[in-house]
Amino acid sequence: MLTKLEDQILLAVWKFRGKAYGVNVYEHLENVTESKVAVGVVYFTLDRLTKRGLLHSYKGEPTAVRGGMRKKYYEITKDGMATLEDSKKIHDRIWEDYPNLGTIR
Amino acid sequence: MNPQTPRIAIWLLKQLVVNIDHNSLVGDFEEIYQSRFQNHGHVGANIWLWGQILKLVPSLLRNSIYWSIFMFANYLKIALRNLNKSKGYSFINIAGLAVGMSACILILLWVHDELGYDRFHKNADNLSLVFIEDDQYDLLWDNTSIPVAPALEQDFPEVINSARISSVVSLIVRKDKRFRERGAFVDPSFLSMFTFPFVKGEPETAFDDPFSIVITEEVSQKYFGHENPLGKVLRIDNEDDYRVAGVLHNVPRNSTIQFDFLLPMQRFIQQDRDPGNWGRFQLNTYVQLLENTTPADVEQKLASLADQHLPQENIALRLQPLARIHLFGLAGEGGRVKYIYIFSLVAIFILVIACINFMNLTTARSGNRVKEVGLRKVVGANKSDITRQFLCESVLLSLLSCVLAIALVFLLLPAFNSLSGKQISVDLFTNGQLILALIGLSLLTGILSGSYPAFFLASFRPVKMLRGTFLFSPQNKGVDKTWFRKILVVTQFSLSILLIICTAVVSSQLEFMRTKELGYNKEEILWLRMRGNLKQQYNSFKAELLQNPNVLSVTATSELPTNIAKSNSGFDWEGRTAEEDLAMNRVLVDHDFVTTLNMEMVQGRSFSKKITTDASEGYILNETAITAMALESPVGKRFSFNARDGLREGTIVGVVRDFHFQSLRNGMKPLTIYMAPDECNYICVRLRSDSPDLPGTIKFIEDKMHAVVPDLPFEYHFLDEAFDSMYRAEQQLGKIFSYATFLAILIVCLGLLGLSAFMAEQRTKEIGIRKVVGASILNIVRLLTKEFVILVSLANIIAWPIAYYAMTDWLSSFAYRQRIGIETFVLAATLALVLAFVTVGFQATRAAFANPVDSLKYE
Repeated sequence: MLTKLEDQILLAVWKFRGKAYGVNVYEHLENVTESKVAVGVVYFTLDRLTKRGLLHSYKGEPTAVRGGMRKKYYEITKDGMATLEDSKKIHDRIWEDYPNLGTIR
Repeated sequence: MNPQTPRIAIWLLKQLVVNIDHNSLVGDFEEIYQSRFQNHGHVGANIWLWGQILKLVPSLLRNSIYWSIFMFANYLKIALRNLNKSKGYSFINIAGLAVGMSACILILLWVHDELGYDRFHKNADNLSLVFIEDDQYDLLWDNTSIPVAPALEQDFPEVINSARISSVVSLIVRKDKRFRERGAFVDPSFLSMFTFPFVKGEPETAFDDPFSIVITEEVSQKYFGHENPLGKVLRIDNEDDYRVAGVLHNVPRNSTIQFDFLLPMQRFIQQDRDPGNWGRFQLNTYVQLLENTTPADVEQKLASLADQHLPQENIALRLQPLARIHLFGLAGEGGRVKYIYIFSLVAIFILVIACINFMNLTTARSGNRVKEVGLRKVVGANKSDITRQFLCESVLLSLLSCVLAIALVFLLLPAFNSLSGKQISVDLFTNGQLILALIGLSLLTGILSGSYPAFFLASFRPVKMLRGTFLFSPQNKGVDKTWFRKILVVTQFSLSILLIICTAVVSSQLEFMRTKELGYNKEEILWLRMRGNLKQQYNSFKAELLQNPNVLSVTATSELPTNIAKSNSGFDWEGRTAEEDLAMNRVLVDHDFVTTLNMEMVQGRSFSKKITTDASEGYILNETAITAMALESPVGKRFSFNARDGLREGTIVGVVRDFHFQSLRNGMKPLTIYMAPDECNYICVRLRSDSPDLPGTIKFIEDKMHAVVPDLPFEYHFLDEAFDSMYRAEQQLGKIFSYATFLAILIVCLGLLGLSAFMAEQRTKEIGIRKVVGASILNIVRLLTKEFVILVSLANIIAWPIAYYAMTDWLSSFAYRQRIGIETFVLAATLALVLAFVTVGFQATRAAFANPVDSLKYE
């Protein structure tokens, strides 16, 4: 089981196809959820997912705009994909009966 | 050009986030910052950055506080369980530490009291005593003459105030109350320079009238009870009436200047026969210097003053800050400071010994905690968590010990006060400084003693710990981690042996000084002060005393033979060359000085009543003086002394065998004895040694004295008391050393008891098997005690040279000293070995007698 945030972050990493790193995941998250997110949360979640083997990270080249620091890229692993698939199935099943929420009576 | 990301924010970020790879994190933050900067400008970017950092804080804080409280509660619980589980070891640990800490606290209280001498004066930092240094004879005098103070105040702008103090002991009478009190004549400025606050009366006007007296509360209580003493009259020395103008708080005990009453200096000057004379050194002069002026600055200028007024003498006026007098004496050496160092060191020794006990027992017993630590590590504890746990535990124990130690201190304080001659009181609830010091001491002790076990336990790998291959006992040669513990045991014993040797040397030196052949007989001599009419009627008084068969002999003397301090130059003798000069001590006596004190004449004769010229011309010198003057046959040679009040010409009538007329710290000095009954201050009476009725004889002397001076109280002393009082500091040192040694040995033995019990317990099975295979009880005891005997022997070897060096240094301040014999070292070694052997042997024997069936039945 993934938490909602883990779900979203795993999806974001998948979406960037090997080019995911802290900044774009964070920005994507802000855009999707339309709310402020603490950057720190993103890092801790990425870290946790990596430790669980759902993500794989590798170092990029240092660039000037980053003050000479390397990027840490994230890639989704096979396990990650499988988990994501599972998550989608669960998600679909949960939402199955409610195609239209309608209005509150 | 890219904008600079605030460094401080980045630094904070790194501090706050611990588990994430900093490099990429900081890079990401920089990147977002840059893009924010492009889109929202400087302010927008900064708001974002700081906002993000702030968001990190609360969760982290919550996390760490929650967990630290939670874990602390857990540590506390485990610590208490462990204490409870092994009550014996806990007792040894806590009791040892408590005893060590209480000794340490007592000694530190003493040190604090010593360091606080004269500090209570508001101007303490600016007050100095003027003293005289005689370059020619290498002498220091704390007395100066009457004109010095006014001249200093007038000539030197740095001196803003000065006060003269002349101590006096007077008989104060009011109605039927008559007591002898210590007092001083002082300048009115004394009351403003020094901080002796008034209870009643006005300090500004107290000495306006030359016949006014200021008394302390104690004296006021004694003479007036609950009456208001102001304006009432006291008669002093049966001569003058003084009106009480003020009452002072009692003089603090840690004041160098001590008095019970004060009289105006004006009266002293009126009574002096030559108040303008610069050479009459008879009172203390204190000066108050300008803020930011050092005594050294002023001293340089003082040289001219002495040259101007005392050109014929080769002396210099010098200054010693009041706050340093008690600790350093006049010249910066001597004084009490040496003893403060020694006692502080002893306090530290005892504390270290107690701490080592704690370390040893905890590390030794940590074998039992290995599984706990392993499990903690498996569940996720860091090294630092384990360290923290064990430090918490030891601090907890040391706090417990501290509470116990404070109770002990309260219990022991009266005994300690009588031992040290102080009146230290501990007011725990109002003295914030003391509470802080105590908390500091327990934290220090806890951390010091917990540090090794904590790091030791934290450093093991959990797998090994849990699998049980971790063995913590000496027979496991592969992981012999006991070397550190052995070093600690050796350290403990070295310190104890050091203390034993010091105690032995100090007490043997004391014994040596007490029993040293002095060259005269100090026993059975009673002495009185020569006061009032006694001086005029001395001869008839002496004749009266001699009527009693129990009084063997009576003499008068200017100084007690235990300490003849007066030293002069101005001697001339037959055959002296012009450049020869000799400083000699001198004592003024009557006819019977040599016989009364049972001194021995080497050449010539003692003073004789039959030869009338003896009283005005006779001189007796000691052997050292003869050697110093290089006289071949001294008897009959011309000899003279040029005193301030005139030349006294005469001849040498005899040579007395050298006798110790000063503390044995000082070497033998040349001495002149001549007759001047008018200048004698003491009467010495030799009593029959087998006197059947000592109280009766004393009563007889009292009656005879009261027949001459009915108003004076009868105060008598014995000469051997005066002798003993010279070595009071050494006696104190000796006593404190012996108590400290006793405590140290007690603590060491406690620790050893625990340690050996533990080791015997560890080897229960081994001992069982050995016995089954055929080892005798003796074999087992030897097995268990061998190691400790080796350690104690090693400790001896380490302690000996240190003790030898330290005690040689201490003894070097005595001109007459006991040599440090090998037997002292052998004694210390034997004592330490026997104690160690008995302590360990007790446990070893118990282990050896155990039935192997009991120890092996679970295999």
